[in-house]
Amino acid sequence: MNFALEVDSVDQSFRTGFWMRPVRVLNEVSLRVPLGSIFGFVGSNGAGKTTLIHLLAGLRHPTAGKVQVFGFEASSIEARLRIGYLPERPYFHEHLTGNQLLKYYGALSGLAPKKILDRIPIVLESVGMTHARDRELRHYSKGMLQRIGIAQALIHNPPVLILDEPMSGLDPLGRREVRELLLRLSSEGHTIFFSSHILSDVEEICDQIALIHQGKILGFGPIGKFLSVHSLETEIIFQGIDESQMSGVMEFKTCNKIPGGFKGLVMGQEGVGQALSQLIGKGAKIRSVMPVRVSLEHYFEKVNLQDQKPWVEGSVISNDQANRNEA
Amino acid sequence: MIKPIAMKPKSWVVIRSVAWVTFIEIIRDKVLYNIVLCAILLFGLAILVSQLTFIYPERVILDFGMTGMVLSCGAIAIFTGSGLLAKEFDRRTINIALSHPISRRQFVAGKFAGLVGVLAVNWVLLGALYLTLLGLLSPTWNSSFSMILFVALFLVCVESVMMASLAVLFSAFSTTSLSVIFSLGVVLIGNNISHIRLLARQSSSKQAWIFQSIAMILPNFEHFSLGVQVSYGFPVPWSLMGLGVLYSSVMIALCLILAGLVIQAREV
Repeated sequence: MNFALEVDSVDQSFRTGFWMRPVRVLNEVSLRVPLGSIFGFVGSNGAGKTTLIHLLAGLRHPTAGKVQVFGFEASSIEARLRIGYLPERPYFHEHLTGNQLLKYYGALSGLAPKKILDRIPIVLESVGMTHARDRELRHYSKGMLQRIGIAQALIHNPPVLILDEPMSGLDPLGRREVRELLLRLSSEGHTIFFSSHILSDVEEICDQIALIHQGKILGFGPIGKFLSVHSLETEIIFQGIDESQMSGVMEFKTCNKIPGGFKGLVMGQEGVGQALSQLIGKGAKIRSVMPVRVSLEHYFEKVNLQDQKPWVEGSVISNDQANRNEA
Repeated sequence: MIKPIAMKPKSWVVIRSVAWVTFIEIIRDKVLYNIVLCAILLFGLAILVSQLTFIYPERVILDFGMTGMVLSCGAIAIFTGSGLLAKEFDRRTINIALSHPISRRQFVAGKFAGLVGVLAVNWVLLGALYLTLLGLLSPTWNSSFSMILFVALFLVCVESVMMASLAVLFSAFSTTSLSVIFSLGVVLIGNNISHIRLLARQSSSKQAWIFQSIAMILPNFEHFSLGVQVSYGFPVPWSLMGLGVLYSSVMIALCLILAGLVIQAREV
């Protein structure tokens, strides 16, 4: 089996209001999470991220479609033995100490008492919470709660971790620690599925992503696939020539004066060599040549601007499509 | 790939774990201490009032003490039981628990078991205090410590467990405050079932049918009320106690099964 999590044509509706009218929160959602991957689930607030995560954690049943964990129906005991789950804002019984909390969830996970005692120091160590094991949870900071939340998800060493916004509300240092922890867990063989709207975090650690917007998956797959749909740009910084000499360099898309020189932007990779030879020919001194990395944020902004189109499984919305809508 | 190291947990392990956390949660709640304090104050009032009477001062202590026990155990059952599941949903602590390989019915049973533990501790402590006071202050020691008193105390405990199961049932589908209102309402009516039956006998056929139905459907708490027998030393047949225990067992099981079904259907 190559996929840890599989979601097939899932619909989810909630009944709200006095007349209990159904509101569709997820619409024909399909995605697959490869084994061993760090899968980022990206979407704006209210897009349906938490709802899908609840389905994956077996907390809800979909209105239609199938949600599977290692081939088991997500709400089955077999599936829940294989996942560790952290909700978006982890609330725990605040009178428990970190140690008691882990004992409690260890018992609910089905670990033998001796195994629980063996696992507690390991998971506390891995989330950096050994020092606070005997402190009551009501004295924990938000970051500490997040980390003890990850520890409880890890207590039974599940092959899959499902984390809802694990970095939300954390300071930059805390976010970095969680990122490093996720990378380490991934290297140990865990499959990690996490939702986030902090795109830089997703971009930094994920190898796979899915994009959800208003309950529909806009695309999923390797992160590089999303970023490569944009044409590459290269930034050249140079000095030693004046503005009148620059007009001869045809390849520049834009060129701006910066302190001590100029910054030119060249579209595509073919134009870089020509622009450089022209600049050198005019006597310019090249200070730096740097490809401009298209950020996921840039991609996300464009996709969010477009109208909803029928999604294609595993597809990535093309740059042209996004640009058309932006225009 | 990482192999799972956990196995499906045994039901009793899940119930014990949830019960333990619930027990700790309740005993850290200030509401509990307020209720216990009220009961102790009522005991103090019993001592005070017994000094003001010349005939049967032990009867005053008996009555006040029993009232204190009933109110304290009942209040803990209703006020803490009503928030038991509702709070789990409000604070979403239930989400993490249910993501583990446990069933919702096991969770409800664990929560209830935790509450029963608190009720038992409260009953033992207040009961011990009550009997001590009775022993120290009652001039007729032997007559006060009758078998009926112990039977009545036991039924107070059984009654409070039944109230707790009702509160847990209401807590499964409503908010904490609504559960308190529903539970108090049912307990009040349940303590007056004989009056409702009397009303049914005196009403027209249509109204009588309604009153009879209410008396049939709602739990009858009159089975557990032995206040008069304790005060006046009337004999209590063992069958009454047996019937009370059997009746409460059926009602508790019914409430918990219903609560389990409601929780099963409820969306988190």
